[in-house]
Amino acid sequence: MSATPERPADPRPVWERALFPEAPALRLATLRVIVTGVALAWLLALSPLLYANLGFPAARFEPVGVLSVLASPPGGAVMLLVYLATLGVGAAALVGHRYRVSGPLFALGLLWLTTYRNSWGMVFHTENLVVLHALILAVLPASDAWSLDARRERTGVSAQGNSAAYGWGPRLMATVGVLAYLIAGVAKLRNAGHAWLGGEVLLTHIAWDNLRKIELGDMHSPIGAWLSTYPAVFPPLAWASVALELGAPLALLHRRLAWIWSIGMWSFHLGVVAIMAIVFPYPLCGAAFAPLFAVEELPRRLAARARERRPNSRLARWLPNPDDS
Amino acid sequence: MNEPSPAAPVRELRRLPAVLFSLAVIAATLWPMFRDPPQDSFPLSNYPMFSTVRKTRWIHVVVGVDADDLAWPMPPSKVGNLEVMQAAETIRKAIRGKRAKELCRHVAERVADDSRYDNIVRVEVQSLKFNPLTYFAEPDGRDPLGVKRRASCVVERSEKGAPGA
Repeated sequence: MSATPERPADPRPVWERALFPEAPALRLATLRVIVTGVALAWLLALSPLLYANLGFPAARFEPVGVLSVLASPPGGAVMLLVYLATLGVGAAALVGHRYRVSGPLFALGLLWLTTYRNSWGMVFHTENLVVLHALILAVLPASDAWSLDARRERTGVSAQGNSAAYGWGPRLMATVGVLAYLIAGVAKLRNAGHAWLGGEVLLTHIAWDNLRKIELGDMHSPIGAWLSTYPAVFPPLAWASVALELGAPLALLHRRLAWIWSIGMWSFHLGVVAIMAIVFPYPLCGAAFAPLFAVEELPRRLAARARERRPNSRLARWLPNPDDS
Repeated sequence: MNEPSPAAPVRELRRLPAVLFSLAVIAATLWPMFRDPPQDSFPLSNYPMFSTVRKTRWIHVVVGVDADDLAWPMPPSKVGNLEVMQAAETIRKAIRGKRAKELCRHVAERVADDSRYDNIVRVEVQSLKFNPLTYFAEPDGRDPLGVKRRASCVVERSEKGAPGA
């Protein structure tokens, strides 16, 4: 994820390079593996919660998003079918098998299942970004490299060399990611005004969230409870979180700014786990920030190392080969 | 794992579809920010979490009461699933929708089926008032400043010798 091999300078105008940066096919393929892999793991982890949702009384169904058209919750058999089918096409999308079909089907299945989970009176905000990223990836040529489609030459193109066809998608995914944080920052200032920056609003939320968990018989954060006794800590925390959220678009301007912002935002989410016991898995595992970087470097290096040690191993065969640009 | 064919063409950018799709996605992402009144949805959200000034200090809970009249918080799994936020919303909306009694009975049925709660004889839906600024900071901060009982129901066990029966 650091410097890529030296290439001839891109002669295109700055605005064009910014909107349609050139990238190797492997970048999009790596994002396919990351986003689909995380989404599949998340779906598996969600299974007990989705199963519990099936037992909820229909009166508690408050559909949002694409389920808004439904007057009553979908039946258990339908949900089970969609769940299993989504896992199946998700596995196909992960390895890039007939991705033009499996990618969109997986994204739609993921959208359906996560919308269902969010349609019981509580929108969680933990899956928004992974779903948006999966939907964007679904229309991109994300299986031109490091995929079964490429191995079987189904893509009809060469994955060698850089192309803007592989660069604009990651740029869009990164833009959607930073916009989500920007919107969260704007919401704080719009709903609470400058009071939010005073720290007391944040302190109240953290104390309230932890006391609510105690009173509702759930696990709370002892660190958050302890920190709530020191109000002076909260104004700097409030400023830092609003600065990170409102400053999110800066991450699009330069790779170094992207690193600084991503580390800051990742630390912010780590802080949320520590003081509120709320886990946002997608940013915490780093996947939410992946579109900002040359993520293909990681599998490329892993592959080089695997080939060096055991050239004929299964791992070496499954990782990208040297012909991947 | 791929075997690129050297003879195959390089993928070209189709600029117009890319621009139109990007604009549509960005507009859709930003759209919730401009909705009036603000409304959260999924996956397009205005991300309102932790943004409001909390005015109410009432929390709505479901407790199990034992034979000695001691109240124990019922975990989220007894209200809905394992998710505490969903449980909190479920209780709040049940009270607001005048369905507290129905929720109470639902939890009591679940409690009756769970041997770990054999000591619970009654379930109550309550609203408790707290000051979040003193809850952790002061020794008596955890004592409710107000209690409202919204619904109460007996845990009915079919087996003989059920505790509290």
